[in-house]
Order: sequence, then C-alpha cells, then structure tokens
Amino acid sequence: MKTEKMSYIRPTSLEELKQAIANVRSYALLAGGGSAKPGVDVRLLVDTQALGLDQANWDGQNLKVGGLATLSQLGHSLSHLQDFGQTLAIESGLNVRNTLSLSNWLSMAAGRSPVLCGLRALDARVKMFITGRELTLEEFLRCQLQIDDTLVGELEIPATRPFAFESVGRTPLDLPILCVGVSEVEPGKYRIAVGGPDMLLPVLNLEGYENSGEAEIRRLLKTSDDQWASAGYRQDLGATLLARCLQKCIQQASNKETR
Amino acid sequence: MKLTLLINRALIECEAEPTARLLDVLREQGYLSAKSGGCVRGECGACTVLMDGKPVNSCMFLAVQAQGHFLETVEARGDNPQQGWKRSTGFDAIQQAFIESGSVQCGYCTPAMILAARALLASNPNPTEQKVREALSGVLCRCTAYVKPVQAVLKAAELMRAEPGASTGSTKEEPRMVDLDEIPATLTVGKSETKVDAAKLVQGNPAFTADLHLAGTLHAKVLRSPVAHARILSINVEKARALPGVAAVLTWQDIPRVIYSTAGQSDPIPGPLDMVSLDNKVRFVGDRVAFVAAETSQIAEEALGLIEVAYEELPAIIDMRDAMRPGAVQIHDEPDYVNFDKSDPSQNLAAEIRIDIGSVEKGFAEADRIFEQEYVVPKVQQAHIEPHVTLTYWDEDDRLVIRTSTQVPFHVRRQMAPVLGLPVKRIRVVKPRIGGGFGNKQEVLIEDVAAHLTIVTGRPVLYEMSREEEFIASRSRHPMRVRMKTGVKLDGTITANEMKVLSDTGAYGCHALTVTGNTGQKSMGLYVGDGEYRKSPNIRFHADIVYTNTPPSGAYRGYGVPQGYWPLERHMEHIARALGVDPLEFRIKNTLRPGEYQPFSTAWNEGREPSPEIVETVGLTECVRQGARAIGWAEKFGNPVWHSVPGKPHLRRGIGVATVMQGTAIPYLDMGGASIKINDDGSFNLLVGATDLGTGSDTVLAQMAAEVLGVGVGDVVVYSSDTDFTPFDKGAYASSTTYISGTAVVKAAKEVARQIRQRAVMLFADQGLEVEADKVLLRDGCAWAPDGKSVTLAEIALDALHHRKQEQIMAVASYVSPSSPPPFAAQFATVLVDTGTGQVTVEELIMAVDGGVIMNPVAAAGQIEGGIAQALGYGVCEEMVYDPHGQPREKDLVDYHIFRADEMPAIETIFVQTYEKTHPFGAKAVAEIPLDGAAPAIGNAVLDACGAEIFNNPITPEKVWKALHDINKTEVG
Ligand code: FES
Ligand code: FES
Repeated sequence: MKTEKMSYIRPTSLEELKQAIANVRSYALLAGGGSAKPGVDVRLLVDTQALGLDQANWDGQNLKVGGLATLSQLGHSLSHLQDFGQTLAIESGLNVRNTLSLSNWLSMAAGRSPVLCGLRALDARVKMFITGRELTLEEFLRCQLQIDDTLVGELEIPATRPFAFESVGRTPLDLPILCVGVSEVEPGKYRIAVGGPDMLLPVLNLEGYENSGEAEIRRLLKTSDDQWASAGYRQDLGATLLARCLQKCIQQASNKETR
Repeated sequence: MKLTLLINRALIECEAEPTARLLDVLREQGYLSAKSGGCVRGECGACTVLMDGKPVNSCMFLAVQAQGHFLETVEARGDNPQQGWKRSTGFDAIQQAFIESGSVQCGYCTPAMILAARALLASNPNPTEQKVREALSGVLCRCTAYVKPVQAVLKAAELMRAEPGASTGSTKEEPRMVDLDEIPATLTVGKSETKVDAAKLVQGNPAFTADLHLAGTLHAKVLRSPVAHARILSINVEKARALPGVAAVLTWQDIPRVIYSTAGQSDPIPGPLDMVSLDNKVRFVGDRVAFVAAETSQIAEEALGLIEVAYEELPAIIDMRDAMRPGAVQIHDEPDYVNFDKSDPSQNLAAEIRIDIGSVEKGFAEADRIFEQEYVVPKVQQAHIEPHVTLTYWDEDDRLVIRTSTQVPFHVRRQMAPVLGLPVKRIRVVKPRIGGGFGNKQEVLIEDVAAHLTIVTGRPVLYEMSREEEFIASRSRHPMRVRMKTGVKLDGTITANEMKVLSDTGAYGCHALTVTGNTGQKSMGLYVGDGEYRKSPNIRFHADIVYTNTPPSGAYRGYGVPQGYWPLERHMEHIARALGVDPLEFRIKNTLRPGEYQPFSTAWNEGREPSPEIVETVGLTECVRQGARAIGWAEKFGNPVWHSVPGKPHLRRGIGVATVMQGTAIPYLDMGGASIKINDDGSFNLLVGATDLGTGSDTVLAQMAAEVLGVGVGDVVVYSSDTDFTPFDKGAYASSTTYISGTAVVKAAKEVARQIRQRAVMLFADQGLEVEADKVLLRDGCAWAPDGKSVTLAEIALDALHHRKQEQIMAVASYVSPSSPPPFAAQFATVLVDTGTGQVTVEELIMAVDGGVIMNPVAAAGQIEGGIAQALGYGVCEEMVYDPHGQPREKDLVDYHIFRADEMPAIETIFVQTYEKTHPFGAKAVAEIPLDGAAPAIGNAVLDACGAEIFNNPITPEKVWKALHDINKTEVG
C-alpha cells in the first residue's frame, strides 16, 4: 500500500467534502462504515461519518435512509416488513450488519445478496450525495461510479407495499442458491427480483392475479447454471418460490383490507 | 498520523497510518483480546470490539474512523479475583457464566462472544434464547455448537437481574448420565470441574502464539502457485528483494532440499516422504513457490507481487478416478521420493490397503440378498478459527525457538530438525494456547517457513496463514469414493460386508495410509453379523489412496472414520428398510458385543504389526435405547401423523439414526508422559507434553492428578507444553490424551503420593504416632492417619524441601497402551424437508455416547456438541469443490459456510457410562466420535421424510430435489 503522502479529513458538510477531493479525485478514498480497504493507492482518506448521513425518516409511503446508516439500522427501520428481516439475517451475522454502511455495502453487493434482492423487489431509489444524482437501484447497479459520485447519500424505499421473500440455501442462513423477492406495486401488479446466481438477473414485472409468472421466471433462469446450482434446478425453484411469495403478498394485501 | 482513541474509558494516543485497521492498532496498543487471525475480512467476528456499545468487526474499520467513538474490549471487563494485595471486583457476570458453564473451549472466539453478550444484555436484560442466538450470530465458533455460550448468556442475564445475594442456581447444565456399570466413587474425577484455562481466556489474556510481540519481528508471506501442476522454469526475485522493508526472499534454489512428510506422527512416519520446503515443481493451486520476510505484512504482500515466475504447465489430475488410469501424468517424479509400504509414485499411488477377514466370498454365497451401492464423501476443512501460526527466533543461546500453534510439539521438533539442518537439541518448541486444530494442527505445516526465514535473517519471524491459505493450502478431510457390498439373510443377519475405497490424498501423501485405514477399521469393524457370523465375521476392506493435483488431505477430527460411516450407515439403513426390519433392531443384531474381538485388530494396526484385542466395554445397545427414548423414536418412526405438517403438504418430517464406533489411542505405539512435583504450599506442578487444543484435556489431566493426590483441581497447576521442560508426549490426536496421557499422569501422581505418604509417616512419628505408609489417606490437602490425625501437604512439602533429609517430592511417568478400547454412540436426527425446494432443515440432533467413565461431564458434553456441529456441516453444507483446472470454489468462510448461532438445531448429549478396566478411572475417549454419526443420521432422516436417496454428502437442496424427481419419474414410468 502506498501511503507516503496520505492525509486524512473528516468533513462535516458537502461543501467541505467537495473542496477536499477537488484536487485529488481518483486518489481519494471515501471511507464510511466497514471500509478497511488497504491496498488502494490513496492520497486522501475522507472519513464520511460526520456528514450526517445515518438518519432514517419516513416520508409518507417511503423510507428515506441515509447512505451511512448501517444494515442493522435499515433492519430496524423496516421491521414491519416481516420478510425483510430474513434477508438481513441471511446476508450476514450481527457484527457485519452493525459495521457495514449502506453505501459501502451497495458498492460490493452482487447477485447472491438477499438484501439486494429485497431492495430491488421494493424498487428502491438511490440518491448520490456529492452530485445529488438520483437513480433507480437498477441504474445504480449498472453504472460505473466516478470518485466524486461513489458516496450514496440516501436510499429511498417504498416500504409500505406488501412484500414477500423466499430463499433456499444449504442451511437456514447460508447465502441463497436462489431467492425471490416480490412487492405488490399496485393491486395486481408485482415487481419480482431474483437473487442467488452471481450475475444480476433483470427484474420481472407481473400483471394480473391470473398470471403465475412461472413462464417468465423459468425463462429468466434458463441460463443460470453456475458452480452452486444447475439452471434446471433453479428454474423449478424459481417457480416454487415465486408462487409462495405471490401467495404471501395476496395474503398481506387481504389482511390489510380486512383491517 | 496521530490518533486519539477512547478505549475502555481511557484516552489512548498513538501513531498509525491513516489506512491502518482498527484491529491492528488495538493489538499494537496491547488490546490483544481482539484476535487477528480469524479472517481479517469481516467473516468470523474473532476481532469483535464494542463501538458505542455495539459489536463490530474491528478488522473492517480503519482506526481513524474509530476516533470519537467509545471502544470497549474484553480487557475492560472483570479480572481474575486473585490479584495479590490489589483489590479486584473479580470477573463480571458474563465472564463468570462463561467459565462456569463450560463455554470456553479453545477460547479464541470467547472475548468476542462475551462482548456480543454484553451488548445484548445492556439493552435487553431479559432476552429470549432466540435473541441471544441473534446477538451471537456475528461470531463464528467452531468448538461449541454455541450450546453452552447460549446457556451462559441466559444465565448471566439471570444473575444480572437478580437481587444482590439472591440465589440463582448453578450455571452448569449437566448432561444426562446413565450408568451401565458400577462406577467407583471419586471426589474430583467425574465432576464437572471448571476448566483450568478458562480464566485467562475470558479475560482475553495474551495466550495465543501471535499474542507474543518480540522487538524486530519480521512478517512472513508465501507465494503460492496459481496453477495445479507445473515445473518452475525460472523465478526472478530481484525486484522483490530490492523492495524497501524486505528482509529475505527464499526460493527452492536458496535452501537445502530435504525430503520429509508433514504428517505429525511417531517415528517412523507411516507414509511416504514426498515433500520438501520449496520445490522446483508445484502440485496444486496454492502450493508453495517462495517465502518472503519483511518489516510489515503489507510489504511482504507487496513483495509477493514482484516475484516473477515462469511455469511450464503440466497436465493435472483433479478427479481421483483419473489418477491411476494408464498414461496419467506422474505427480511425484522426484528421485528422492521415499516409499512407504506399497506406495508407488509411478502409478500416483500413495498407499494401498488390502484387509480380508474371514471369507467374504463364502459370506456372499450364503446370503439371501446382496446389496451394492457406491457412495461419495467430499473434501472438507477443519476451519479452526485461529489459523496456523508460528513465531520463530534464536534465543540467547543460539537455539531456535519455535512458538507454534501445534497439536504435536515433539513431532515438530523431531521432524523439523533435518529440514532445518539443526540437531534436535538446538530446537525448542513451545506450544502456547491453540485456537482450535481439529487435526489440521497435527501437521508440521508452516514451522519450516518461519524457521528458514529466521535462519536466513537472524531475526524473529511471524507467519500467520490467511483464511484463504487455510482453504487452499492447509490440510483437509480426505474425499473418498466408497463402494459397499453387503450380503444378508432375510432375517437381517449380515453374512459378509465389503468396502472398497478410492481415497484422494491430494498432492502429498500425509496421513494417506493411516486415515484411510481407520476408515475401514473403525466403521467396518462395528458390523460383525450375528449367530455363527458373529464368531467369525466376513469383512473385506480394500483401499487405494491416490495422488491428485488438489490440496493435500490430512488429519481431520475423526481421522477417516466419518468417511466410513456415511456409506456404511446409509447402506445399513437401506438394507434394513429393504428387508422390512426395524432399523434399530437391525443394528443391534449385527454390531459388536462385549467380549468379542475388534475384527480389524487381528489384521491391521496403522501400518504396523496387528495386536488382536478383545473389546470389553460396549454400551451401544443402551446408547440406542437412551437415544431412541430421548428423541421419541417409538412415537415418531413409522407414524404418518408425525411425518406431516398440517396445512403444509410440501413439508415432511423424518427421523434417522446411525450407530458408530471410534478408537481410543493407538496401541503399542503412542506414548504420553507427565511429571509432577510438589511446591512449598502443598500445591503441585503438573507438566505434560499433551496439548489441549480446547478439548479440556489440561483440566481432565489435573482432575486425575488431584484425585490421586487428594487435593482440589485448583492445587494442580498444569503446564503444557514445551519440549525443553515437559516430558515427551505424542501430542493431541487419535483420541488419546485422557487415556494415554491421563494414565501417565496417574502413574506419576501415584509415585508422588507414595513419596508424600512416606514423608507423612515421618511427621506422624514426630507426634509419636506409628503409621504404615500404605494406610495413610490423602484427602482435602492433608495426609490422614487411620486414627484421624492429619498433617497438611504444605507441612509435608516444607519438611521435604527445607527441614530434613531434603528432597524434591516429584515423579515422572510415561505410558504406552496395549489396548485401544473403542467408544460407541447412537446418533439420532430429525429433519424437516421441503419437498418443493429440496431444502433440509435439521431440527434435532441427539447423541448417546459410551465413552467409558466420563472424567468431566460438562467438558465432555461440550466436546460432543462441538463435534456434532462439525458433523452437521459435513451432512448438509460443507464441501470443497474444484473446477477442472484445480481452482477452488471455497476460499473463505462465506462460501465455506459453517453454522452460525442463530441457525443451529437443538443438540443434546447423553452419556452411557461403562467402566473400562484398562484405564485407571475407567475412561475411553469422546473427542472424535461425535463426528461420525450426524451426517448419515440426517441422510437416513431425509430418506424417512420423503424417500429421497442421497448417496453423496453433503445433502444439498439440489440433490434432494433431484432424488425426488427421480422417484417421481420412476413412479410415472
Ligand atoms: S478477523 Fe475480523 S471478522 Fe474475522
Ligand atoms: S471456543 Fe469458539 S472457536 Fe473455539
């Protein structure tokens, strides 16, 4: 690690942060929770924890949670979504959830992540802190982040929808061979995210109560062979887990109506 | 840069690089309870600290980020109450509960667990068990199955809630004990004494190898092969040597070529010599290419990247079935290869075993039915949380000190001497606390790396393997392909039993012969048949152990036996069901009984002369009875209501069993020694070469000495082990410490007791009392005359050491056993199978164990629980998989999943005590047997639940799904 000329700051405002990284650009490391990353050629280490990005607030239908909130904080804020707790439990043990900020976690999250699957199903949106750029989570996952845009400022999660999650792994809390997250965007309209394989699979949208989505999910998983499972198995599993999630969403929606 | 950290309520100012990890800075500042070797990538939690009251992984934080936060380590918790004149509040409630409950095994994870518990109890004084499990979920423990830590936290919560002075009962939860034989009364032996090493471990004291910081220590790294099989055409190390901070770079051209085996075993090594420290050939992805020592581990890592290596790639053998095919590439073509027995490197054959007992052909001919099936068992990793770690340095007498986390310090000294060009007398091996080993530290694996670098630099060198290196370059359990063929009568009598094994030793032949021999000996030896067949069983065990271009296999707790029981117990279940015989009755009918020969003892002994042996104590039938009762076999087996889950037709319950046998020590071979001396206050030093790797053996040895000497365990100070000071012991393997080293301890203690009695006679004479020495009773720290008069051991010690006819009351003894009495067990499992997805959830694991007389029930139960957890992983999730180029799939503790606290099934241990007359207190072994039964019992439970026949463990959801599909296809067809 080359650290000869490294300096360190802990800015307390966006302006201060911008100023600090203006001259060093790609040689700056923005460090939030859980960011011990030796080996990077860094000249300026920017400790982002004093920027006030660890709050969680409800804004009508949406949870707005700061990019430096931890996975544990996210879990507390979404505790009303019973199945979301399961995504977090599978993602990691408590220490990591207490340690990792959403911003850092998002920079590493991949296809096998159950929390990512859940957030994709919920159609979360991401707001970058420095540029103020707003992206869908899908756009965020696809784009190459520049140094002045790596810090997630906020995650906006429409978290009052019916949400269901199902996962299959070798043990109850092993990373999933396959997991499916479903949220009911509008009555009869479902957003489906599938995780488990390393690669990110496209999100599915399903309309109408009569559509089981089986054909769509089988198509999606047709080439999902990897070192952990065959595509044939995943296709079957996908159909089963999707059916269970849809069932749960319908149940949740009807419970809501009854109330 | 300058840092100010608030640690344990003290402001600490220090210098550190901005990118320094919090973990490293804490350790540099002396907070050594945060462990550095678990993974350093956020997977294990061994480095836990509390940050603002929450458990976090200190390896995932930069130290600078911790400024302004309140950090807490275990050093801030309570102290050992004995602080001399200084007043101490003693241990806190959590530490106390961890000590008393037997939660501390190797202790490497203990500080982290205590902190996680503290964080929970600070916010939730009355947690449920589930909350406790969630709180501990960030800390991986490979020793305890979390059973006792969870009990400890619940108990601590109760203690903390209680009014001061209120009684809350014992923290210990004793396992259920059933006595099959009459067990003589004892005072200390057989009691759940607190572990002698627990106090230091709950405080996070610097007990482990890496906790010793010597000035000027260099850090070692090893360049490892990226290809599975290649010749090294050239290595250019110029750039690496020129890097500032690099002290040495060594390649095969720099050090003498000395052929040896890394298997830590007694002389002569029962296997081929096929390894050198550095070679001009690499034989697996991860094999050694070069050693580097540098001022920091970061510089050493950077230097590795500057070494240029040109490889000539060779064809690689990854699938063991290809190893002996005609025309296969020869993995060991070096001229200095030393054969052992039938090893033949030209055929890639590391060892061969051919054992025929009775006549299997005759048995098959007499059978009504013959069952044949092939089974496959995977390569799995020990995954001890402390990695392999060694610190070497020259002492003031120019002797090489090797401080190392090893199970076999004396073998390290003997086996390293020629490799390093030093006589044995110029090497001192010190074994500090071991953070788990499970057989992987029965390997002389890395001591040479640090030692070569110390020799070349003259400086202390620390080499700590990374977690990735543990996976790609340490040892593992041999994967095997096992073909079973069994003949039976229609009444369920086994007439002949045959096991043919192809075993994969990987790139080197360490433990090749002995591990695979045990596969047959301890599994196939259990089933002898019934009636006439019982008198003369027909058993065949043939094995070829072959080289492949995968990481070497080696010793893993169970030592080959789990590989035997997966096929054997799955096969027996299949036969019982096919014949319509009750699975329990079938097993009881055909297994070994007291007074019968262990059939393999007449034919095999780890590559040495066989020593026929009658098995005197067999509690297996009672184990089956007790286990069946505890799990509710009668109510569940064959009961359709229990098997289904109301409202969830896709869920099915199943119940399964496996009966197993292990060994206790290696007869006529392995030796243990002990020395005991008295101190001025009537306490004793017990010096043993045996190594406690978390099993509690130091405690058990102290209990045995204390029992003979009539003192409490607290009066026996155990030291283990240092090749300069402690007597020879073969080390911790083959389930031998309680049995072999324990007998040596008892022999030494008896001699010391004799000397004490004689001295007591002199003191009684001073009082005008004439007493015969053999009438003097040692008890409660005193010597008692028959008339009730007594002298204290302190008076005796002072008399002997200072007053007259001065002498040191002491003795040294050693022991080699002529016998190896096997422990037995019945393992039961219940599972829930999701037939829609193939997911198996193990709900309950109960093991009833005949380990002879149990020396320390709580500690022994901890061994069973921890072993079952490892066996559970073997059953459902653990395996190491390689692609066709030999690249590993598993390199970390995420992909190689070991069970967390919040997903463990219920685990229960029952001890069925038999009295084994060949041990002074009737003991056999318990440490390895829990590894044998869980996987097949789970497999049998899955079969019971849904009919899915899985022949290859682990039982993954896809295998169950596929088996269910095959059933459906057959039914449709
Ligand atoms: S060493 Fe930090 S989590 Fe393993
Ligand atoms: S006691 Fe937990 S890892 Fe050994």
